[in-house]
Amino acid sequence: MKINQHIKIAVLVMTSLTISSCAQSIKFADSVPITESHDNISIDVPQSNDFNMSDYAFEVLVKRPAANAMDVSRVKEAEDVNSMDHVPASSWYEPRLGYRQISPEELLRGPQLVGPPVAPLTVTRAKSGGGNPGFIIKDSRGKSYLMKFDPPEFPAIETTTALIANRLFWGFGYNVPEDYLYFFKPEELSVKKNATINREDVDKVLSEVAPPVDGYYRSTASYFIQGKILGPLYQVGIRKDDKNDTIKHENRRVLRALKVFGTFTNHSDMRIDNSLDVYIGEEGKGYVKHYLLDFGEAFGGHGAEHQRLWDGFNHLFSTKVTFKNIATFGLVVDDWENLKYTKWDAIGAFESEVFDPANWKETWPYEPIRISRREDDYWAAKILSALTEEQLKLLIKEAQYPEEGAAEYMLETLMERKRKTTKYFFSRVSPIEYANTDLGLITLSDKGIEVFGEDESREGYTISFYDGNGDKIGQKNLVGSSNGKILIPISNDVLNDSNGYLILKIRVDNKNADDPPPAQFHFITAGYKVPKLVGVVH
Amino acid sequence: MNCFLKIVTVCTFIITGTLRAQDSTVVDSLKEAEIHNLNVRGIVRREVSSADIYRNIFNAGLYLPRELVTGVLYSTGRSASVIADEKFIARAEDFFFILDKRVGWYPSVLLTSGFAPYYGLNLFYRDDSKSIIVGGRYRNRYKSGLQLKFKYNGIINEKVWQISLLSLSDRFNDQTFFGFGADPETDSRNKFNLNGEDFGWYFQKRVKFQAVLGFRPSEKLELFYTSFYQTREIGKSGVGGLTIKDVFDAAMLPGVDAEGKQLYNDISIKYDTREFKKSISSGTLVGGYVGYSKGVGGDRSEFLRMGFDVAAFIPVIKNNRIIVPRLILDKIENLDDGIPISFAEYPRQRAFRGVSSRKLTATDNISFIPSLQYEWPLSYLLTGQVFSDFIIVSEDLSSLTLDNARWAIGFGLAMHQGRSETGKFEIAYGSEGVKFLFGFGSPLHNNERVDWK
Repeated sequence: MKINQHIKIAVLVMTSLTISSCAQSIKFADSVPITESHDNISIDVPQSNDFNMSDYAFEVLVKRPAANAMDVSRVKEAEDVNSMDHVPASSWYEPRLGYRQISPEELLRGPQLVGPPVAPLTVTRAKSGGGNPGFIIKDSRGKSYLMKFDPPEFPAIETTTALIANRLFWGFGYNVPEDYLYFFKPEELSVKKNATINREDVDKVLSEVAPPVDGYYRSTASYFIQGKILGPLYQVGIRKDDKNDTIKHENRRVLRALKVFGTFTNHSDMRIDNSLDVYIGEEGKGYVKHYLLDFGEAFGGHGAEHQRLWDGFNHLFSTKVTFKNIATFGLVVDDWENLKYTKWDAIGAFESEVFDPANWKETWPYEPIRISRREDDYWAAKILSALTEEQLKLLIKEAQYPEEGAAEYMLETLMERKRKTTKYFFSRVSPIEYANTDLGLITLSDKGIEVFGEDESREGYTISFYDGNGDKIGQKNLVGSSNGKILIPISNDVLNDSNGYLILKIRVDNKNADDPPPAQFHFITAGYKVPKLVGVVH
Repeated sequence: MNCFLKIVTVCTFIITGTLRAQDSTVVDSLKEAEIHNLNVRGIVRREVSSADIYRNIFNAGLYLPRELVTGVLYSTGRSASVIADEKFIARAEDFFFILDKRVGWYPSVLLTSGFAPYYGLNLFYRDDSKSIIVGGRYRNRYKSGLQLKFKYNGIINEKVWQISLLSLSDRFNDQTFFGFGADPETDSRNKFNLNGEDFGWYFQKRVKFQAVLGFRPSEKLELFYTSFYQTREIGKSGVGGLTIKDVFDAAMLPGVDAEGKQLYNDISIKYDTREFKKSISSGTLVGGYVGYSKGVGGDRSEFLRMGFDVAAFIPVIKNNRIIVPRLILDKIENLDDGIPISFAEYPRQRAFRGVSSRKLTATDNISFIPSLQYEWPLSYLLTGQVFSDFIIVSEDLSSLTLDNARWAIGFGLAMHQGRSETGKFEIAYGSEGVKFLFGFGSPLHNNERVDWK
């Protein structure tokens, strides 16, 4: 018996040691960073995706949380990321804000190719799907638009939001439809003969929406995306009949980044039916492009329409929150419960004071958001930090808030939300970026200082050097930076000990706060006079 | 170690078998995808920590339970799943609804401790102004119920009115009776046979046709006129325990082994200041009714029913945490002392949560239920409740006393759509023991005021 027990223990120890020795550090190739994914290889038209609300609700509120509760595997790093920790251009994403200069006018133009409707307008059919009234029109050029309106209780709340949020998400890099704020008089509408909708139906729709002002109805005119509509893009898995879709959607940084962008804009209605896959091009020679749409319920819209002050603070259902409320008998009052609607109907309860980016929640649990990792959030926060006050000012101005003071309040609120959001997600990583390398010196920059200015809570930086096998070969502590620039001398000893591959890990040291994980910069030293940067990890 | 090896082996077979079962082209494309993804990332080697390896081993152990739960949830409830590419299971929309969601069906279930569970099915048609529901519950041929209900709403001069017609037929052989009065054993109206039991089982078969005319002259006020014809046949229960004729002297139990037929009419009023769409809101509820019942054919009984229901929904801390003190009183008054009222017509206490409504634990001319409840939100659509209920019964108002009052305290979870409860879980403890209840899908007769079983 005793011998058997000894053997069992020995086998367990050996297994543990073997497992421990299987650990390995990431290693980058000596290659040029990918900037384009080339995921537009010709494919046949894939099958359409379905969307069914009951199935979706059950899936995201019951089935997936139950399955996730029994999955302890580590969340994988995003796979649509290149060696410099950026996302290459693809059918999902185009680098814009944070990657190139975008003027306020360009941001306002956004996805525009066709432009807003040109009168006269002809109603061709009723709107199908979605909970809000609307209809489809064709303008004088024969272009089709979906017309959407504001709820009567909160005039202008959706038509203002739809324009601003549409352009913001375009700026963040997503493919979005062309949405326009459009004013019209009912007499400018005619109804197509043999349409599935008649004049009475049109009048009924208009009677259910926010009333006209000076005879004009406010609407969002959304230009129909050209191509074969394939339905919503699923938040998990891949399209099996699309060769270009090689990365599980939940592992795409562009979708995980919706956590940060959703937090900023309160796009709590992030559901798969607010996204669209479209086959672009001739049949057999085209590819699938992926869009986000329906931003009209961002900011305060979703909460106002459903009378939910908890919008953005809780999922529709969460076992954690439910059990917490059972245990506390409702005696603990959450911050959002003290929220009140603002005096502006077009804004609802949208605010920045109670708002806490650490605890923002989309209404329907969205898997990429749930598993978003710190480095995904940081990447998105960098993009967000590139959004300027001038850009926001112009978007808000063009949204034409009808109530006095509303536009100023929105600008102030969005700027504060932007500040809180970027600050929080920056604090979860070491927000260090590469600047350049010279003989004997590597220069990095502290993005946090660049965006927010000097921070008294920054004590300094801990820098460690490793070789290609992950063995530590040196350490340094730096106090402070020069205007955010961190100069790191590299000794010959470190270069020699690196054996051709050097990993520099740098961690921000904070007073009175947990230190975040280090950023990593990988260099190839063999064959180069000056170490060559080949990889970045945040 | 042997056990561990067995687990690992089984898991390995399952995983590799699953992989092998996949179309080989999918496996090849996965490899291609992996290579492509590594190229995009620009790495030659992924990071792996020893913690990851341990987690993956542990995760492999959870593979079977995870797949089992996922598989079970796939085919559960209203949201029957879609297998996106094969669609061999009908979609939920097609499965539960047809005709633009106007016609549908849903299951119902009622579990109560101490009683057999009921499973039911409801079919419905609805449009803007009317609805028709056909529902049935079934356990066996002695415990079943069938109901057909039609409701029509209309607007005259901007006032809402409603007609509803109901026909139901049910039979239960697990009803119980404990005798009259707060303390049946000492109440002279009860003649117990000397066999030591304090309650008896009985079988009841009912058929009822009812019409209700409702009118809402203002947002908070509702008026109803109710009229029904009901036959009630009391007989021997097949449950196996002692019947009421075994426990009580049959001569003192009017209605036993008889078929009662009555025509009943009443008017009721309800004034409710709470916000309509919210499951929890503050306000006041005041309701009352008075009704007249006349026996038909061989049934010569004649009596009045009257009662009130008053509650205050008092916000504490926030508007959606409320304390609800409530008083419900039901009274029955015989108009012909020469013809006793059937024992089964005496007030039942649907609002008392300490016992199933099929157990007539205490009854008399007057039944009074004071209760105190605290309710708070748990999540969207779910509320929590803690409550304490009492039943006080007496022959007349002046004799109401807490002596021998039945009591219960408990906790419940309720699922709401607006102010309607669509599902409930409750657990209570009190003078009648422990009661557990789980109900879903609007079980038959739920909250029907005029349903005196």
